[in-house]
Amino acid sequence: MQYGVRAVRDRTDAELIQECLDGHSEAWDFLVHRYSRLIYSIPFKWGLQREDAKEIYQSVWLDCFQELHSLRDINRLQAWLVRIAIRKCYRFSTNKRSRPEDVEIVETDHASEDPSEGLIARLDREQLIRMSIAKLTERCQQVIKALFFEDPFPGYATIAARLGLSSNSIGFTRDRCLERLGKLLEELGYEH
Amino acid sequence: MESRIDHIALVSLFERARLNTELDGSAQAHLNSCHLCRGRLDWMQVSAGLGVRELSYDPPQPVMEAVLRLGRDSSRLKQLRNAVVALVTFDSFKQLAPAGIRSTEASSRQMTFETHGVEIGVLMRLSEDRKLSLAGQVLDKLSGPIQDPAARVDLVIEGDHIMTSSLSPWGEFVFSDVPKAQYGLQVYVLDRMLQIPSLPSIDEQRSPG
Repeated sequence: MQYGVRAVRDRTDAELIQECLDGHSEAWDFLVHRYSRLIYSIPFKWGLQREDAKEIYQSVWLDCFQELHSLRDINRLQAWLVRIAIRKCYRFSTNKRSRPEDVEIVETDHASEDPSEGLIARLDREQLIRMSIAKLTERCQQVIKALFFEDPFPGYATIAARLGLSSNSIGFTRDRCLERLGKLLEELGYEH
Repeated sequence: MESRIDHIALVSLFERARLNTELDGSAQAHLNSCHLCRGRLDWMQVSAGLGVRELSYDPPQPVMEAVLRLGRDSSRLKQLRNAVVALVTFDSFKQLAPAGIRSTEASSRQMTFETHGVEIGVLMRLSEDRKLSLAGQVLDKLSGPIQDPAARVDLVIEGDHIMTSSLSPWGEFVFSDVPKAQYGLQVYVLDRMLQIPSLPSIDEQRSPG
């Protein structure tokens, strides 16, 4: 089967991993993009700086690449990536405090625990939102990103102008996009 | 069952989550009793919490490109496809070593693993301050040291590659003063990846001689 017959965004992680191993670099690209923001956000949430975040990000993906053969059978790649990223953040911050002796005691257990009041649960929910937004139409993605991610809030008239809509119809479009996003989140198992 | 029209308008929930507006009294009362509306408000609040930071969670382009290049590295992919598990063939805790290399040291353990004609010798030592040193040698069983300047060994805990050692011209590698933990090794040599998923603990009880 030629690569790309089915939309790559609909492929499961396991399918993408197998395709990576089969030499399809597009599969690796998509896998990286799927979880890129999730992984890059973790060092910042851990309180690390940008330079550290860059190093940890690359290190997590290098580990993922090197473990592809064993990750084929994993149920939740996302959980694996988060666990590895948190371990690296922990080790990084511990080393920076020059207290390597702590690693022996805590390192193995740390990642399986909730390290900072629900960080893992929050990361999961944020990632579901990213994945749901990625499944929206281009137009709805623009609306949702303007609604939630722009600071200051651009206002409905601006959003309407960007989309080439009248100010009167932006309310309908906004509601439709919010509704669609909510349904996608439900389908992906978002729980609150 | 509640009809859909009873629920709080999406725009009101959005404005509550993103713009911190108040819900009116009846909407607030409905929210307190409606699982669906609370769920909607929750994901809107999480989205709003991501906020402007979300757009800053894209790594710099050179970093992203370095990661994406991994997927185009055909020699590395070939190694991963040829991953094999090495099995233990000698363990100083289970059987006596040949005369001359026998050790009575309780704080060290010597093992040999083999797969596909390659032998991986590992010596673990525990120091007085409970730090572990792992040294070893990777050899072709017939021809000795393997000629591969890119050969390396990774020290791994549950998929987390914490250290890398290149192989010396004699196939030696070493990891000094690492915390005591359950490690695995991955040996990348030529077109293969040889894996020792989990090294036995140095604290494990010896078999009675």
